[in-house]
Amino acid sequence: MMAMTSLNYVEPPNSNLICCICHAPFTNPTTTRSCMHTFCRDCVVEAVRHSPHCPIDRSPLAMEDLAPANPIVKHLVDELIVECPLRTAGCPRTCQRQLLEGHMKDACQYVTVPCSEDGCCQMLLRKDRGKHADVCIHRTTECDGCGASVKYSDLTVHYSECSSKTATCSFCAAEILRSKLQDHVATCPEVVVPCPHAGNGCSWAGPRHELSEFHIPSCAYESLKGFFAIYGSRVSSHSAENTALKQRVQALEGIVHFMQREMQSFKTILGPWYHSEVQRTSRTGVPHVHVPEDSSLQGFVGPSLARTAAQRPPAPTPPDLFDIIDADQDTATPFFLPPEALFDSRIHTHSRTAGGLLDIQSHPGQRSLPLTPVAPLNLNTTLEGSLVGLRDSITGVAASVDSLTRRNDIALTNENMRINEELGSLKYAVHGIRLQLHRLMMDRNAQVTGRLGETGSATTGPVPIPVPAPPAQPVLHPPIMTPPPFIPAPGTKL
Amino acid sequence: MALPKRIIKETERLVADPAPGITAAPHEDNLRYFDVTIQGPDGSPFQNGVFHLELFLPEEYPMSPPKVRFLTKIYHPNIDKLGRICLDILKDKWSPALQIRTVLLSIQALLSAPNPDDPLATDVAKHYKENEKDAQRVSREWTEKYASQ
Repeated sequence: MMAMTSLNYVEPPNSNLICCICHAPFTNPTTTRSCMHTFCRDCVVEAVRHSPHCPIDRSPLAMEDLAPANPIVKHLVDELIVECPLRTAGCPRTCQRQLLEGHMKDACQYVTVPCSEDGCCQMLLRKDRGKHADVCIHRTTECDGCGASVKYSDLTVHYSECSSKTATCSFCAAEILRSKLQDHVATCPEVVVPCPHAGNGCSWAGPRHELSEFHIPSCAYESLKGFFAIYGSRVSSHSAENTALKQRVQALEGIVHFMQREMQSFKTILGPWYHSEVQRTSRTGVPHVHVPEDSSLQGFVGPSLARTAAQRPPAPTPPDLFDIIDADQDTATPFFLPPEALFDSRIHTHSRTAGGLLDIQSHPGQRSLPLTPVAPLNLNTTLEGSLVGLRDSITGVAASVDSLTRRNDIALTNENMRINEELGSLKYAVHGIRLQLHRLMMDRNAQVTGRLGETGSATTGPVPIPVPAPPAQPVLHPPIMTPPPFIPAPGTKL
Repeated sequence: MALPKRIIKETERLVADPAPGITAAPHEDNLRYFDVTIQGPDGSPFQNGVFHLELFLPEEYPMSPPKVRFLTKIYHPNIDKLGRICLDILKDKWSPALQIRTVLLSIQALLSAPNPDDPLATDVAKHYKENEKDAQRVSREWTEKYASQ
């Protein structure tokens, strides 16, 4: 916004509309609430900032005391007629002060404005803009040849490329339309061209018109044209075949790669049972032959391993087993030994003469030591072999369990019979004693009540409490019961 | 910096319509610097004297007061021997509503009515208080000696 204080007023304004600070008609008239004096807003704000007093009567004044003046005052100053500030430049316009801004913005011909053409940064008076637009080098014009819109400043460059303008052939110096130049160069007799046999080795190059006239008749390669054609076609067919083969090789390589990966995964799955073909052939038969003969190796590998690797012994029959156990050990342990241990003990019994580690293990004193209940897997055989071994072991275990059950049954029956007998004899003994007691009681009753039984009273005195007769005492009556299978021990309590 | 419109207007008016007994003219090379003359008011000891002053409008004018100084020697209780003036409107009582013309009229009035109770030149003030007639005589002598045309 322009400075209102610098405006020229056509008529001297009423002195009541003059700000006493800037001495010009009010701009944004502002009245003090306290003392009702009016100033331009900017002027009084600045004055209060310097000194908080009214500039006219020096009464205290704060920013809060400032308020817009009565609208009448504003209208009066806004309607004052002012000259255009560009009067010195030539604008004769006068208008109300409130309209001046619009005049400057849109209408005043003496305002400096930038050229409206793109890229032109020249500043000029608004009235000169039309004149300048005709000569501005940034204006858009039309090419008189092709009709394209081109910037005036780029017109020269455009002419040098425009297809509607003529150009000079650089070979034959002919003037030709630029749009036809390409076609001309393809046929211009002065253009330097290579021999058509350059690909086969001819190094000649020269103007086109000399080619057919002079060079071709004398070119050494011309006579070999037919050979080159055949040769060329053969090479091309070979290279095509080569490409096809390459593709096949690539595909096969892909398959091989895939197979390798599959193989790797199988190896991972098989784990320790995987043996490459080479390893297998190198060790064929070796463990099978040696292990049965060499018992120290057998011990080294472990009993079950040795058995697996060697010719498997037939599963022992229960009677065999019993014999071995009876011969070697006390009766309790075999029940709690795993079948493997039973096998072992049998083997060891037979191979004791061989000595070595096995003897220590098979010694009766060592029986109670924990043996490996389940043998480690033999990783030296094939997976199939291991499975067969495991199956055999299970068969052996089943047989052992069976024999154990039977043995248990027999032992139980034996025990039962013995207890039954003992029970019977005890029953007899108790019966005999009861009869004896009964007799004694009878005797006693007779002694107390009268002279009934004189037979036993001579030796036995009157006894208040019945006491069992010592066994050394002669029996006073004929034994009633049959003799028991065994006589109770002297201390036996009834 | 361009001269504010107000200073131009004041200058135009001072030249075109001067106050009685006062002239003020700006220097050509500095339009904020004025040569001022004030005639001694009639009926005062300074009657018939023409006193030269200098006046300078600072950058903040009219928010700050103009700086004014007597160039002519004067025997006055409110003006010291360097020409400095003890006048409230040139100091704390300044208002932007005042202007060059009112300042100069105030100075002229100060010549008519010395105020020894608010002195700047203490010896002169003392003289005025103790023996006003004699002091006025000295003032007249100084006026004749230094301020006569």
